[in-house]
Amino acid sequence: MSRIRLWAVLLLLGLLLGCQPRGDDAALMGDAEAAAEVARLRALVDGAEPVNAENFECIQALRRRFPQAALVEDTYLGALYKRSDWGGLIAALGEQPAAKLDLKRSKWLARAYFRQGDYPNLVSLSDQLAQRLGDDYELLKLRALGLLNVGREADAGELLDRHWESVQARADVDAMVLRGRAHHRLQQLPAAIEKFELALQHAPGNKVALNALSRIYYQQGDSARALALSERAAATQAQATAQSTERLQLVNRLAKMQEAWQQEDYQAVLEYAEASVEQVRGENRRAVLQYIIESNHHLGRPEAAASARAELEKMQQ
Amino acid sequence: MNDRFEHQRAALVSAFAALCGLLLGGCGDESTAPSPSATATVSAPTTSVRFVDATEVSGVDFKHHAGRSELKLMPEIMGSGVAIADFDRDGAPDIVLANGGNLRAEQRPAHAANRLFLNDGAGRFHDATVAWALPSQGYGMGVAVGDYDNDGFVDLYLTHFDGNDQLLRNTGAGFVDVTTKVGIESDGMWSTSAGFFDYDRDGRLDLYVTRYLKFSVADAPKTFRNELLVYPTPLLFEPVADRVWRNLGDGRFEDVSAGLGLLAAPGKGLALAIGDLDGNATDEIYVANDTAANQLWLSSHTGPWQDVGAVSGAAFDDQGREEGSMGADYSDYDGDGLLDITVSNFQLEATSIYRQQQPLLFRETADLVGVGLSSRARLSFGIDFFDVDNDGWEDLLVANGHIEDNVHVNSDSVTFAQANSLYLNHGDGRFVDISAQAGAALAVEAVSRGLATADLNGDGALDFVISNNDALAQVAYNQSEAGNFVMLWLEGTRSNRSAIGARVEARIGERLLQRQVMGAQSYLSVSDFRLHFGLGEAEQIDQLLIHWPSGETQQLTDVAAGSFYHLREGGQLQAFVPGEFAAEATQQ
Repeated sequence: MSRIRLWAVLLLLGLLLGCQPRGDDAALMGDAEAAAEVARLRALVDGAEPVNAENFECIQALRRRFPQAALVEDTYLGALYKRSDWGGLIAALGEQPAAKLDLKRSKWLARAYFRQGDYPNLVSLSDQLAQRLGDDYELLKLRALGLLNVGREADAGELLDRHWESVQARADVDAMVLRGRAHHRLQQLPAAIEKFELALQHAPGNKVALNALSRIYYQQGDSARALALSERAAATQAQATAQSTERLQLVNRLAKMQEAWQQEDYQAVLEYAEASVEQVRGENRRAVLQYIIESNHHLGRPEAAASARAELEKMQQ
Repeated sequence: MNDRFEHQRAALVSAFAALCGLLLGGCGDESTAPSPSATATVSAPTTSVRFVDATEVSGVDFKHHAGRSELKLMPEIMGSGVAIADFDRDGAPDIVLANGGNLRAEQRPAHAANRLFLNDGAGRFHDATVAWALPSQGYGMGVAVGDYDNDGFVDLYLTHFDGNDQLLRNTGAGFVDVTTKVGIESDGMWSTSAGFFDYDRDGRLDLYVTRYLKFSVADAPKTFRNELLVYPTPLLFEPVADRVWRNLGDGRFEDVSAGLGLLAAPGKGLALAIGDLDGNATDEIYVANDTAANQLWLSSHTGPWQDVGAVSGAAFDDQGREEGSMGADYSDYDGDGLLDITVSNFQLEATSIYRQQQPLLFRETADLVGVGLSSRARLSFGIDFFDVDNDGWEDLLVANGHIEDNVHVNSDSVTFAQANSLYLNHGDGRFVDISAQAGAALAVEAVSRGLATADLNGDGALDFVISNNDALAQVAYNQSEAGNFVMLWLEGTRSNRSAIGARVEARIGERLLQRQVMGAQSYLSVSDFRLHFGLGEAEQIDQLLIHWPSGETQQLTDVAAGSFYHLREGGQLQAFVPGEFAAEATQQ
């Protein structure tokens, strides 16, 4: 990539990220190799692949070289977020005055506090942000969650009530459930039931609403209804768990397929590949088909290889 | 192989790694939000609570051997349990530590033996493993104790990864393997925590065995986080139903799991707490399941048991989500007369405090009571309520340590070895984390698993033992400035001899303390059965009400502080000195 193109990419990234140019930014842009590395890592952070330890170390190395470069810092923060390193994100952002955080970083920090379960700091941050940023819907919800979890259920409920039109307009089931939980905590059971039922109208399998309703009916002595709701929640959960398990098993099979390839156990490669091929799409499917082709070749099965190759060519058309 | 294939292989690696990156890594999901509920903060504490590391001076030189391998086989990371019980009946609590082994070896390596340490009463232990013929086989997990044959000597039950559990009869001078003789049979499934209890109240101890999941060493699956191979998530495996063995009284046990309804409700059980939560003289059995709904079984003498975990509010976090649950215990931590439940969980999941608001109606209050935030920073296993400063309020000790030995690669803020947590009960319904102020024993960072408590050195203050994965076990002595105490060793006559299931109410002025003899709690472990009452400044317990499992209630008055008492059902209190108890163990 030419230096001019790199400059353009980095400038565009900077504009998109809302970064203010700092001293190290100029130094970074003057170092073609480093600039290319930042662009690569930025693309990684923004893409679908995970940020593995090696790439994370690359980001940290750049950060050591260009401690004031906004693009590097933003890439680092994005990597922490992507790696679900909430403690790291809080350490990096939490020391800064809320007034200096832009909206994106404010949200990252708020989400990190939520993920970390640091509700007092979430509320404190949202107190400061509410004055500066106005009514950002996500921040409002995070604030409501924080309030609920520091024992300010009435405040959480009042906040959601003030924005109830937005909740309804968005058909925001999570917010409906949250309102129901605030009522439930305050033992306002009829109102809690109403909100949970409303959530279930939009999302009949909402596990939180089902579980909460089952607890309320159990408390009210209606065990049969409670157990029926609990069973519905369990069925929903079982479905979600099965989906997660299926994905985990797919990853496991693909890992074992690669191991078998390295061990030149082509029969095993075929077994893993054939068990996986219908569950993968795009590049993954093309790669798995190629494993099938190559393994069949090694096993002296040209017809099977040809069949897989035909499928691959069909995909590539 | 052509270039295009190389390119596609690379694409597959990165794409499936992306898929891995979205998936889970261990006993829980660190990528999901924690369980919110309400928060209360208590300012940084000053405390007189002090625990010193007494591992060396105690003589307990046990090292756990996990046999960890690059294959990252799940049992290697689970650790094992510790039991504290008076095996030689001298009035001083002894220690059994289960060991792991090597999953790929035919036999347990000699260096990975289970160990028995006998106590002289002053907290000095000697190894009696060989003298008492304590066996070691398979890959060890949990320990349970109870006097199943009512001969006065507590017996031992060891659980194993391969399900070949062992019931060891205590003769008073050694152990005899009676597993086959009593009819306990293995089905090859991974058993974890176990506990003796008398669910049918016939005076004979039955046995609950918690079981985990179907794991094959030969075909172990792989889990990745950010492209890094980590110990696998339980989500990859099928759950295994728990088992209940009923003691028939003729020297045999019968598997009654099917009739009780357990086979239809498999979880991924790691821990067990058994006690009478609502004071109705029947047991409630809490099973902590890993990435599955926890269960709260209402036991019954006659018909199938009912799981009310979900409807009672004790199965999930506050949002109705399953957690990576590892340990469990009961206590009336807030002194309202109803036992509450605590459950240790995965990193970023709070240690649950299910407060019993009305009989069998719970609300998760970890954040409200001050346990939430700091517990989310740790991955927790063993857990035990115990009164560290003898003020009558039960405090909370938690054994911590991650399940990914390479977690530091994926996180700047999470470590494999972690310090354990001690929460001091303020007595107003709130806890404060005093781990950093409570002495050197709590500063140690390890991969802690099993945990049990007892007064090991006979000074009236409760100590603890923690089993650490692939490391030395820790013995810690309590050197806190503590209040007065009474220690009560109960023995049933009509009730089971271990008095498991006995519930005791101690009235001290206006205060009412409640304690139970629990046959199971924590993780893979069991604490001393003797009941400890911290009296603070009080000189006596004004009234002691003992609800024996037989249904008898016994009342005693004016019990002087500062003593260890032995009480046989229907008899009188006898003071004793730990290590010098001389009563004969006779058949009832």
